[in-house]
Parts: sequence; C-alpha cells; structure tokens
Amino acid sequence: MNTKQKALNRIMFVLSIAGLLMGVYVLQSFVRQTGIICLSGGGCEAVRKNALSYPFGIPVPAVGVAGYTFLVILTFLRTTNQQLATKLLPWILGMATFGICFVTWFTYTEIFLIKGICMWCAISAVNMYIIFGLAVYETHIRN
Amino acid sequence: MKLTSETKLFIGIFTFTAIIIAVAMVIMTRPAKPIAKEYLILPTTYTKGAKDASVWLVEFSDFQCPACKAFSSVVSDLSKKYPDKLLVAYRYFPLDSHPQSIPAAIAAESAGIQGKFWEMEQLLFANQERLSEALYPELATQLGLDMNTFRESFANPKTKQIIINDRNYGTSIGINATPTFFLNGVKLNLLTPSDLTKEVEKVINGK
Repeated sequence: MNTKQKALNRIMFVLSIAGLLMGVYVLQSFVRQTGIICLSGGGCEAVRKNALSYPFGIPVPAVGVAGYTFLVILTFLRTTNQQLATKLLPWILGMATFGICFVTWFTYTEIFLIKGICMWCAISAVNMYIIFGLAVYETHIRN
Repeated sequence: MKLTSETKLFIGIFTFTAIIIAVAMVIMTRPAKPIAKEYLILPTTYTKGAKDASVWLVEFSDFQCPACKAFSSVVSDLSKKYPDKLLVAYRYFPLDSHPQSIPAAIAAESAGIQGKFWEMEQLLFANQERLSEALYPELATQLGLDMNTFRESFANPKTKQIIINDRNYGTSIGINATPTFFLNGVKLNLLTPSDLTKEVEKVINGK
C-alpha cells in the first residue's frame, strides 16, 4: 500500500471502530431493554421499542455490530501484508455496499414507518456512507 | 511473524478501544439504585389502591401517547385485581411532540381536584384520538363535575405548574419516553403491556 492507501485504510479502520462502539452501546440497550441517551428527543426509545427494529427477531444494532466487526477485521488484515491489502479491498467494498443498503432501508423504516429518528442510527448511517465512499475512492485510485 | 508498524498501530488502537468498551460495560451493567417512595409519590400525586401496600407502581405518562393508552388498561386491570396489595400512582410526563398532552393533563388535574382524577384519566385515554380544548369541558360534564370549579382550575396557572413540575422531575431522573414505570422505585424496562403484568405479579407473588 502506498501512503495514500495507508491513510485511507487507517480512516476506514477508525470509522469502523467508531461504528462498532456505537453499535455495542445501542445493542446493549436493546438487549437489556434500558434507555438510550439520545439527542433526538424520544426517537431512540421509539425505535428501540418498535417491532420493526427486530427483523427476523434480530435487533438492528446486532447487524451493525457484525458489519463493523467484519470491517475492523478486514482493514486490520490489510496491514499485515501486501497481498492481503490488495485482495481484501473488494471485500471491504462489498461489506460497505451491503452496509449502505441496510442503513438506507433502516433510515426509511425509521422515518416513514416508526416515525422516530434514533440519533445513533443516523450517525452510524452517515459513518457507513463515508466508509463506502472511501472504499470506492481507493478502488478507483488502485485501478 | 513479523508485525509491520502499521499492524502494530492498528493493534494499539484496537486494544485501546477494547479497554474503553470493557470499562463502559462494567459501568452500564451496574444495577440502578431504587428511588425512594417519597420522591416518586408526592402528597399531591394521584394514587389508587392501598396506601400502605408493599408493592407500589408509579407511571409517568402522557395522555396523547398511544403506548400510554395501551398500558393504561393493564394498569387499571392490575389495580382492580390487587386492590390491597398494589398502590398505583400517576405522574404527568407530557412530551413536546404532543400538543394536547399538557391541556389534557390540566383537565385530569382539574378533575382530580373534584375527586375524579382516575375517571378523567380513563375518559382521556378513551378519547385520545379527539383530544382538544373543546373536549375537556364535555368530559367534565360527563363526569358530573362542577363546571365553574373545573373551568377555574383549568385556567389556573398553578394547575399547569403541577404538570410541569412532574415533567421536570421525570427529566431529572432520566426519563425520556412514555410510559415509564417504576416498581418499588426500580425503573422497569418493558416492551409490551403484558410485560408490565408479569413484572408486577412477579413482585406481588414474591418470585
């Protein structure tokens, strides 16, 4: 990886860790059924208490935690050797593409069906879009 | 395997994050201390059931909140089922997003002055879809209240202040959604109205 690619990978790693932190915080409140600190009024609670936030019985933040964990591992493994650095970029792009599809679906669900916005979900959605953008950019400069 | 400096940096960041998560989990999983009864049930708070009951349930509620309506019938059923074992208290927590929640709470408080708080509470939830300034005198008439007294209390700024004080207290103890219940001073985390029945009966039956 050249300096630019290293920097992009570092940013994606840090953003994935930030996403993971948010996911763990929100997930524990979903699992323990406790309140969420939320700057968007009662939006987080409305989202947490809605059945739509548990597709197939899985709490939405669990999907976020899994996705961000995967991204943390991928970005980390890319630092270990040059071969993996090249091979794993499409995996990151794939994961981030799934991530933006998921956060877009959930943001739609929040606004139009639950009628409440959870601040953490919104920040996580923006975070995933940035990771996706960085992955696309790195793919572009690599090609 | 020789680690690159980049790998070492990432391990460092990850370890630091893991420590933060571990510390946060320890702090967040500590059980909350129960709140004393005298803070949750004030002398002016409306209650039903035995005053000296060992089990007491405090609800922070909003008359315009659909979930509060759903829980209200469960609270009423519990109160009827355990009149000697359960004390139920109602505290106002009008949400900003509901324009009629404060006027409705004022109407309930005004009915309470004439001893008809719980009757008005039931009527307000039953008519939740049509809450309006015009509805409250109609409900008061239905309850046979003295209309002059009702209008006076409704217009009195002190009545509104009781509701605001309840909300301010609720906010100070971390309430940010309705309904929020405290059972013997411990905040309940409920998903459905049937969860409330389970929690209350668990304590009443000593399980």
